[in-house]
Amino acid sequence: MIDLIVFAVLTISMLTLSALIFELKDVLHAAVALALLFLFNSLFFLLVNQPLLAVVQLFIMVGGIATFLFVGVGSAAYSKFGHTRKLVLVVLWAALFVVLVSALNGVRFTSELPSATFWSSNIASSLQSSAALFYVMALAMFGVSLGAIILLKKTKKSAKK
Amino acid sequence: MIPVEYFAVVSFALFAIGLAGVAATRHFVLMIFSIEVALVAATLIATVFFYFNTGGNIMLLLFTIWTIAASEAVALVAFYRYISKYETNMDVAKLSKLRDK
Repeated sequence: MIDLIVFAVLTISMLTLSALIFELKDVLHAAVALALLFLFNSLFFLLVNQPLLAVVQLFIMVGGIATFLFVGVGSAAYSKFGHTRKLVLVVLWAALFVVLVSALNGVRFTSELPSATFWSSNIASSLQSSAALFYVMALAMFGVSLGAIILLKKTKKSAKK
Repeated sequence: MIPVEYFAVVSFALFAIGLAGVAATRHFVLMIFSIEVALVAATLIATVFFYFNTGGNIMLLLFTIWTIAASEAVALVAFYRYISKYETNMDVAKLSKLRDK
C-alpha cells in the first residue's frame, strides 16, 4: 500500500508540475517548475533502483535548467503575449493519452528476473547508501543559481529606476 | 510492489503533455520546455523497461537523450541572442523577422 502511495505522490507531483509549465505566466517560474519535474524524475530513477541515473539527472537539473533560468529572466520583456492555447493543450493531451494508453490494452508484462520489482523502499535505501549527498549538493547549487537569478532581477529593476 | 504498467501510464501522460505543449504554445522557450518534458518521459519509460527486462542499466541510450536535452539549452541561448538583437519577441509566428539581411 505504501508503495502505491509513494508512486501516486510522485506521479501527481510530476503531472502537476508539467501542467504548471504552461499555466505560469513568468518563464522563470516555468523553468523552476521544470527543474522540480527533473527532481521528481530522479526520484523515479531511485524507485527503479538506478541511483547513478538519478544523480546524472540531478546534474542536468542544476546545469541545464540554470541556463533556462537565465534565458527566462533575460526574455521576460519579450514574453508579453498570450502564448499557450489552453483548450488545445487539454484536448490534444487527452487525445494523445488515450491513443498511447490504448496500446497497453490487453498487454501483460512479465519478467523472469527476480530483481525486476519496484518497491518504494528502493528510494530510502539508495538515499542512505550514496545518493543523499548528491541530492544535498544539487539542491544547494540550484538554490544558489536561483538566488543569483533573483538578485539579477532585482538589480535590473533598481537600475531602471 | 508497483506494477510496471503504472510506470508506462505515467510516461505516456508526461509524453502527451510534452507533445501537446509543442503544438499548443507559440512561445519558443516553452516549446523547448515541452520537448524536455517529452524527453523526461522517454528516459523514464526506457529505464523502467530496460531494468524490467534485463536488470541492467541503460547508460548509452540515456546519455544520448541527455545530450539532446543539453543541446537544446545551447540552441535556446543562441536564439535568445538573436531575439535581443532584433528586439522582437519569443513568438514563433514572428520568426521570419529574424532573418539576416
